[in-house]
Amino acid sequence: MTGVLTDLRDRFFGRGRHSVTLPPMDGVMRPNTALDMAPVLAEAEAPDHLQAGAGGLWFSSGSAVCRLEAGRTETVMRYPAPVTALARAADGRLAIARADGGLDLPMPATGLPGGEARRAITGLAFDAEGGCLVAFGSARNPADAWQKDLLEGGATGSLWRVSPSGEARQIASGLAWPGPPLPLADGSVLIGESSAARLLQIGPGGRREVRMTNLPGYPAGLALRRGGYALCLKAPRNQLIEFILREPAFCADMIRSVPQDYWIAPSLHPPRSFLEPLQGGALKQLGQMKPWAPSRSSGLVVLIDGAFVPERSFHSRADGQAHGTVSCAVTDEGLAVASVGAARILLLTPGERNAP
Amino acid sequence: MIRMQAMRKVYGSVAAVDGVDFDLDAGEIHALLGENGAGKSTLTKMLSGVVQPSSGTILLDGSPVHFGNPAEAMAAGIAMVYQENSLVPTMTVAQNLFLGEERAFNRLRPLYIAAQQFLQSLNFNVDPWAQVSTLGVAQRQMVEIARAVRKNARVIIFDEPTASLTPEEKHHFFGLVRRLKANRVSIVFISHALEEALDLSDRITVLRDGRLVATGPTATFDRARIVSAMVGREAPLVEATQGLRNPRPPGRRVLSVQNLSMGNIVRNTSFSLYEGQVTGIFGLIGSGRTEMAKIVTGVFKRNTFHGGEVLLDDRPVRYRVPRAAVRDGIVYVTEDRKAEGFFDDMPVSENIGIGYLAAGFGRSRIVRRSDLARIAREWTQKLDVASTSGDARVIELSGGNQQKVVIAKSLVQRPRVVFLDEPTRGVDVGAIAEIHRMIRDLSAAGTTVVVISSYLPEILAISDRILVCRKGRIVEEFPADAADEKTIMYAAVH
Repeated sequence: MTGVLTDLRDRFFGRGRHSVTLPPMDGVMRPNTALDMAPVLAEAEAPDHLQAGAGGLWFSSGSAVCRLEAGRTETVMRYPAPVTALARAADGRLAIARADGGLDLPMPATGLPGGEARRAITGLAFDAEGGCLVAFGSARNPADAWQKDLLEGGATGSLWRVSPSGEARQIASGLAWPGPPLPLADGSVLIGESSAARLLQIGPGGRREVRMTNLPGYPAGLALRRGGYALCLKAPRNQLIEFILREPAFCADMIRSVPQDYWIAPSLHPPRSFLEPLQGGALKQLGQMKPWAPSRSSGLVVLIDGAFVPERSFHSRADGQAHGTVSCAVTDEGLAVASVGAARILLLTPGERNAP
Repeated sequence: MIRMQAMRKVYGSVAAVDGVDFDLDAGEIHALLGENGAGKSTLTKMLSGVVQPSSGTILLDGSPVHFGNPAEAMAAGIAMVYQENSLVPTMTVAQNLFLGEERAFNRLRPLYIAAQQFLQSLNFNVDPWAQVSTLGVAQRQMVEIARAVRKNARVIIFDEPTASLTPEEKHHFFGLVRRLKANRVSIVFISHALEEALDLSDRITVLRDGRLVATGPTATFDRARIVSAMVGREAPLVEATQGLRNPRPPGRRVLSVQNLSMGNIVRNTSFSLYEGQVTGIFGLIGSGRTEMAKIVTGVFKRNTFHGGEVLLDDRPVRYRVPRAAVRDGIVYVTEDRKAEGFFDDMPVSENIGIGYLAAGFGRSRIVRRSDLARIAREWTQKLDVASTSGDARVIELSGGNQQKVVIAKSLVQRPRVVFLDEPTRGVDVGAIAEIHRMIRDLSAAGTTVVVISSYLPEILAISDRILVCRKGRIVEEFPADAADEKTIMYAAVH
């Protein structure tokens, strides 16, 4: 009873879990311009779903699947609709999901949601047994509507596993826009819940453990690296967006009446039009974007250790270009990062400390 | 102009000042230096009539004088600006400036206008209508200085005048002192900031243990010689605190302050604190540093609506009183030790014991006096508090030792997070080095330490990371190995 009253009071005063607060970007998360300074591996339209392994670095680029090897990019396949998820097994097998609902798996997928639901596949990954993990971002919105799902407060995503023999089984449901899953050696899966700004570890039996919560951005791609993980945050959270997320009527009205590019919502791109909501809202002084300038988009890649403690971060600031960091993969040269905002694949070589 | 000969002041069996000769020429700035307890204040108090000498002679313009009280000294043109505040807190700034000059009927408006004009002429940004109790330490100090200057004193004794001033205010103050000098006013300048003494003074006198150990033109001194004279040894303690060191990497995030607000003083600010790191917070006075720390530790309350959030180990906490924070291991060591830090009439042991009681260790409500005495003894030894005994009253200790008692009173609470607000203000160089070493030890033991300081060399010397506060907000962060005074100051001002 006391808890209910406390919650009501907090809601009235905007305190506790009802306060609009964000974790500070300081300490190891201190902003820098590492992503903007990083060397460019390749240029591509909307690069995503990086897959490193023998045969080079594979990635999706709009409706194409591309391969980068020895500094040369080649288009391997082109589809009629954008690729929404891509995975490549160690033996070279591919799994590809498309915005038109097309799903190419190297095995049958009996029991996996079909039809319109397949337009919402946001992540694919092969596990050690040869099975394929399939993440559905939402049961209501397609894969390219993550902003809409966020504004609608959706938590209808799910995670499935398709066994090598083709039987699909749901591992988790009620996920807030899950990103590409990362299978771990113990059989569990690490997955970022974008709309909930947290990182979950889901055991083989479906048991969930929150590994990181209250992230300063919306998690997307993950990669295993020596001694830990690399996590991409595709856009920063900011107080304005967090505030309107508590106003469903406003969000619904905005979705209905404002073109998507101009929503007050996170973005993968640096500002392209003056009609967009202000980025760095009035905090540009003497022509210089102040370091604390809030932004709808930025680039942020975080190296976290095995205990999920952040060790180092790489940023592109409000006035940078390498925004929308959606995917990363560990290569021999370093950590490859796909930036949608810059339409580039970047190479991070963090040096002797925390080298991936 | 003034010659003090063989001055001696004995308290009980202890000579606070023992046979000191001191001269002051007209229009001279004479720096009086020494560790806390060296006898500087006693010597100057004898000159200003506050303390009566046990023996010795004071000559003013060649004639022997005896000041029975400060009013007599003031009548002879000798004023003292105290380190401790001597303003009436319930009166306004203007009323304090004109205190003692009231007539039977006073028109307030001309009084305030005159006060405003006078403060402006000194470049002091203080509201004459403000009640003194509402002013910060720095502004009170300004009023104190203004009051002495207003009385057209021939000799002004400044006791630690810059301890609570911002760099900009210090700049104004030094300009003021030079203007006074140009008007043939003589200045006695007591300071622990050796660089200031070297910059400003014409002559330096160093006291140690109540005796004069060195005196001469400023040009014959450098920092090393002063420190050596002050502490009576080569000064490795002091030098060890200078220069950058390898900052410790951050451990786990212990405390996260998110979008904290309190009126116009703290404005939507956020920062994190990491285990085992010393986080230095630099900012000009009035930038909201102290208030941030006080909100986090439950001394102040944040805004009722949307005042932000404090997370301890990712768990939201909201302290309405310091005791709750203390029980969670978060303590605040005040910048104003005299007003908030201790009970000055109580013994050292009881002050430390009060800190222990506040932490509420154990289930029993009964704490044995012998346990408290043992704990107090442990901490006085650990922090090397120099007192005749644990029963010595805190008021009888030097500034450095008082500060150690305040710190011990907090550390006895076994904190996980310590906010030290101006921990070395008004503390001598020897004690500064000891306090710095204690901060490092705390951090090495895994405690999260926050040092709020207006003294940049201190921030640079002991911090692993430096946060800069401006206008109620943390605006910049520097790793200690990539920061310098210029960039930090730029961030604090612009």
